[in-house]
Amino acid sequence: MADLTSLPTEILRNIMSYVDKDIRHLLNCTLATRKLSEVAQPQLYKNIYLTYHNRNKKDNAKTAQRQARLLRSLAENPKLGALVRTFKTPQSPKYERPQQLASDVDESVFISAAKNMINLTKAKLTPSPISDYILANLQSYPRLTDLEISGFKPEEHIWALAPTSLTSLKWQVPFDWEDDAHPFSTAKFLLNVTEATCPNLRALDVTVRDSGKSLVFSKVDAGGAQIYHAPASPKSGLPQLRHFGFHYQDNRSPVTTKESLLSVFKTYHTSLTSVSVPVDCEYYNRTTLDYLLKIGSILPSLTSLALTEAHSIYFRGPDPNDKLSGSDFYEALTSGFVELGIELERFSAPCIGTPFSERLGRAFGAWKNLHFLQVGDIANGHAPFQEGGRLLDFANYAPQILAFITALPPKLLSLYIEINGRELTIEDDDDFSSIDSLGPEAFSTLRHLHPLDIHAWIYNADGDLIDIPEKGMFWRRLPSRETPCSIEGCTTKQLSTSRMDAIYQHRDLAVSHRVEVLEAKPGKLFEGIDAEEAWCGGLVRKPPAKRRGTQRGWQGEKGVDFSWPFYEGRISAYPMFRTRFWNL
Amino acid sequence: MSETKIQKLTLVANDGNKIEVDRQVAEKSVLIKNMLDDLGDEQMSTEVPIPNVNDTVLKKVIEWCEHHKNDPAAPQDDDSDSRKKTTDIDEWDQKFMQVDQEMLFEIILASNYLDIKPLLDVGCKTVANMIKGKSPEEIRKTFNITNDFTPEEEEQIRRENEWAEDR
Repeated sequence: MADLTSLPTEILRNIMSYVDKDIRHLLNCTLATRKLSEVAQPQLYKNIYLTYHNRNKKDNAKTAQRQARLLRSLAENPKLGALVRTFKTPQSPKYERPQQLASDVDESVFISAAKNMINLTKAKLTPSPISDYILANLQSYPRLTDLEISGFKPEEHIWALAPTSLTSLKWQVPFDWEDDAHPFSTAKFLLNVTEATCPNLRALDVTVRDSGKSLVFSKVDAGGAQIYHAPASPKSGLPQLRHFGFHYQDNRSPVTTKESLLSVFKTYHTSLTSVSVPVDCEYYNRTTLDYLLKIGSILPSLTSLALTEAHSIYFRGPDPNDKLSGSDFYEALTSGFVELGIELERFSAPCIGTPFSERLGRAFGAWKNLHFLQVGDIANGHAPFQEGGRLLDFANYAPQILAFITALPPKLLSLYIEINGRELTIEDDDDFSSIDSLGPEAFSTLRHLHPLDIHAWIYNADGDLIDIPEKGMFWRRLPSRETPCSIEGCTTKQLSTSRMDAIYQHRDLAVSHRVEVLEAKPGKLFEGIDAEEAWCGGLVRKPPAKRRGTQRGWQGEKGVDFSWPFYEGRISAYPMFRTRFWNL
Repeated sequence: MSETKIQKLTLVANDGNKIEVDRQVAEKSVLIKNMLDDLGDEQMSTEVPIPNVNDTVLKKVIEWCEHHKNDPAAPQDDDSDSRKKTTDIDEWDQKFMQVDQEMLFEIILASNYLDIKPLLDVGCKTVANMIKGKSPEEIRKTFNITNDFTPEEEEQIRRENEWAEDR
């Protein structure tokens, strides 16, 4: 007779993968019976994300105590350490005092914990003794393929000259105004490092940015950084490099940076299919257009292009009259790429220099294979849809946004729209409702689309942009739930609609969620896969009671435990919110 | 040589009972689909033995396949480790899974053997939902299993995993 403990281990593992949404449930399984414990324990330790939500002293203390206990368990039990596959250390918010990970734990505990995590496959490391150790001993982690680092300077924290297993490396280097080195020099250094030690590398992203205050650690230079400063030998290289990205905020030598990037692209032109490059996206001109078309001509297999904002970089040509409107620029870019035979599948840009419009949608329509698009519009403070220099006129902008969406390539799967509303705000939440209603028509027209977001980066009551958009709409097309169709031959889907409104302070949010039925008529049926779930799992947060005037008095969610590992900041962790260098 | 494609298959349960099904329904099972692809219609007998599954369970599995025969193929699970999986279950599937525990586990085992991943997932989600929110003792009671830990082992597990306790 079949019972739970007679199921094969692989099936029990599958069951545990659904239990692990809340580790309390996993913990209970570890104590139920030996067989369940054997499958629950690996799930409990599989992904260790040491997050930190600075809300109150009591919860902060609980977080510190639990993280210290975990580190001791990992340090004292090699078997537990060996279960960890993904490990992340906490990222301190930029303008808050840096959090010292488990400050009362002796450094030897960090080192032992790091030594025991021998089966790591992914790691995201911020300054801490445990990160120091992993970085300096990277070759001790033979399964570690994906590494993301921030807060360290590579020249001061680098591994020894020996092969690693890395296939993806993202390094966010802290910006240093006192450093005279050219910003690309750190990218060049990392290219030298990876050419010498990462034969399987497929993706390299280097970002040089102001990351605020950071913890100071001793320099760990296991390999002697100087060995990497010399140019790599002609025989070395990264034969599998598919993606290269470089981002920075600095105004030193933009021209030489452009040349350096082109040189990298020429070196890896046979393998690169994806690049990410900084542009002066508030000022489009022929110089930038020619630069991007040149990248296209160097990389005939390009399928993914990301333009990133680069504050204080002026890629402006010698001719002040060569400025192009966003629409002219994107018409020329899309048609230029088509002429080069480039079939882009993914494109993103934080600011396209023009309000959304049907004309702009048609321009992107030229990229027939486009399936991912993430774009922000013009800085709206001086654009047509500002009202009185202070408000964003969503009511009149909404039809233009819809016209943009419905003119996009029909095969588009994922669309993320950003409204750049620095200096602009909204008088009443209802003013955003015209955006709220765009979903059904967008999904009826783009029949492959399954996530659609609109993020409004407008000012809050203090006149600030915050870490997440002030307002957001998140639509997800979901499978039908047995809903009968009104017309024979038509099919239905569910449309999940989430709306997020920040309430004065960015930590306090109201989120509503509703589901409606979408009908597709014969001949215009929905195609492709649906989204897996509603945005943030259909999260709902009730708004505070309306008050007159300012809502400063609202204290947020009472009774919520913000301590690790139980609090999940799902909204702030949403990966599609752009990490911004500066506020556009 | 006939080029007619087999449209109906007869599945033979381990107790000898035969059930005729449309090919499209049977092909929800990757095991059967691969068998058809590998052998080709000409060498394929229309009778397919399913030695690991009894008649009652097989009928139940076929009922699920009938209902889901037009579902699009599930995308490859490319990143299942890093993302949280939803435990939402379709309304029809929820009702389908309202069976006694023995049948639930038999369906899970049959879907695993026949390689019907969406059905296996529904079964696993159903069990996961039965586990959630229950203490160790309640889990044991729900599934009628005994505590086989020694007090020392239980204490060691508690100590190792104390960091995950909500207190």
